[in-house]
Amino acid sequence: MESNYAFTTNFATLDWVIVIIYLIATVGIGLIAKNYIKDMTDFVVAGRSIKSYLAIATMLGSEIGLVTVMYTAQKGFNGGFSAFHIGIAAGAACFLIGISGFIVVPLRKTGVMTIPEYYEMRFGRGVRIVGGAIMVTAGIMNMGMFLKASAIFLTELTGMADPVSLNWVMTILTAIVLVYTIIGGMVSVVITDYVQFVLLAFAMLGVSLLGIYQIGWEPLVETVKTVHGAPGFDPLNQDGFGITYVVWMFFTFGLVSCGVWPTAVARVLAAENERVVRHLFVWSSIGFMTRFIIPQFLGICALAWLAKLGPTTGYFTAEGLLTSNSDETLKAMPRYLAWAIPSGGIGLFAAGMLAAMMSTHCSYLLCWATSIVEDVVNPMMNGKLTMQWRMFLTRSMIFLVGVFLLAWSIWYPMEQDLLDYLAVSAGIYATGAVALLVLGLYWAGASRVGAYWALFSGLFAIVGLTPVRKFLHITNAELGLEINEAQIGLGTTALAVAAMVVGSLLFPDRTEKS
Amino acid sequence: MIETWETIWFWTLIIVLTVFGVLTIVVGIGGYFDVKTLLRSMNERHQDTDDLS
Repeated sequence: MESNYAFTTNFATLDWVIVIIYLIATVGIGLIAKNYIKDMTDFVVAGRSIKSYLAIATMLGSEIGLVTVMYTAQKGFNGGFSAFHIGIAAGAACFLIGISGFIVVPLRKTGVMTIPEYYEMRFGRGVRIVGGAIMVTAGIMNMGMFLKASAIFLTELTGMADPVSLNWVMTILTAIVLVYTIIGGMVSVVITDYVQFVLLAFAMLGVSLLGIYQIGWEPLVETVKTVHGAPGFDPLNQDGFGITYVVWMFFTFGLVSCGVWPTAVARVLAAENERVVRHLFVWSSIGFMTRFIIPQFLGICALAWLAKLGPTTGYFTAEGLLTSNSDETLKAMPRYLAWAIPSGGIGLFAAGMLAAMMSTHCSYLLCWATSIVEDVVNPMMNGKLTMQWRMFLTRSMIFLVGVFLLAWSIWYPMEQDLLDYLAVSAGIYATGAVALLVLGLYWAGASRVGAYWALFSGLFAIVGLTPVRKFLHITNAELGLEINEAQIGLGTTALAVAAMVVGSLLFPDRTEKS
Repeated sequence: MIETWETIWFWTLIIVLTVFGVLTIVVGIGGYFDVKTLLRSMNERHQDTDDLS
């Protein structure tokens, strides 16, 4: 379904001016924040001085990133209204964690700065190094598609037609993020997160209302009925998402995303006290729900708009079948917005999205770079690295990870929905981490051997990536089975928990640690 | 069946937009004061450290 349809954009000179002013202001925040950085605690957890409202803003600021908007919009485009179940699952899980304090409160009580630091406290230094290495590898792979998604958004929104411009946009965006993360650390992250949250929230609310106004509710419903049928409304319908997928989403974008994913947990560990942690999750549950539902709604708006344009766009065949090309479906939402938002407004929206992209990137870069140094390199040196060396290495790692992400974004063939890619890559770390955190925090019998077994079991999640399955010749066609990402993800989690329990029972620690 | 889901998703969207709008205003105002407090407390902590040394 190749097409040379020329999509138009309302992005004009005024919009470029708005975007450039915003970028300059962001780098300025990084420079100002530098004055407040005196030691590693300032750089990594902003001196543990973050209060409730700022904690919520910064949590949502980094978790509602541009890439989130892109992959969730793609899910709304491909799945219809039934994709809303992901937001409900995420919001419900976040709320329940806030009410119960599950994982996050006992973790905050330990006083650790990172999750692998907890591994060391509970299971020993070796587990910290292995767990830290797996976490960083999975995290960087997970982040690998962020740049590509962000660049696709910007090139489609602004109408830059040249394919080379995509790579240039990625390079420039990386450079800006690196500059202000390296110099400003967590202080610049939380301040830009706050600014980004406010900008992005108003932008998302505005474009949603614009979508309802321009297209109307009834045409949206009719389009989903025509294109997706009943699975476009019923998430439990086996021809669409199905029960396994719904459970997988509750686990991945609910429990893992809120209570285990290091960037979210970083907010927990930077919070002033346990009361702030609970407030953070209860109130963030609204944002965790919103970050899926609003972009998914924009994806549905894009679907209705493209359906109205007809098969000339390349999105539909003459028979009305939707394309399965993941790169094209990823572009649908920004193409719709480029048409829907008037000039001036589109510049503000682009600035909000750039803010979203940069705060997520810097938050993630800081998290992974810190983990490499604090959880892998420094423990391997028996904790003998000086503060100056740790700061220097962290900043160097931010740069190196940034360069790697650029290369990965350009060369990795995704071949599946971005949301599924992210869930699978996160699962490489998260399946093992769930076992270690939950059983480590709540079961006195969890042992070091069990922890190792659980961490290595989690690595099986990687077979959920389509290119990996092709490489290993274990695609559904080759196996003659119908196995999807959800089944692999949930199966790996069960395996990791079982490995933890069996390993702990067979090889208990000599002296139990609480 | 589709009509029931349509109603559920319609109200889900309305509730999400409303609640998120309120959250944005509350967090926007509260966050501004928290940023000021954060920078002030970090400055004070550094001054205390300098005094001790």
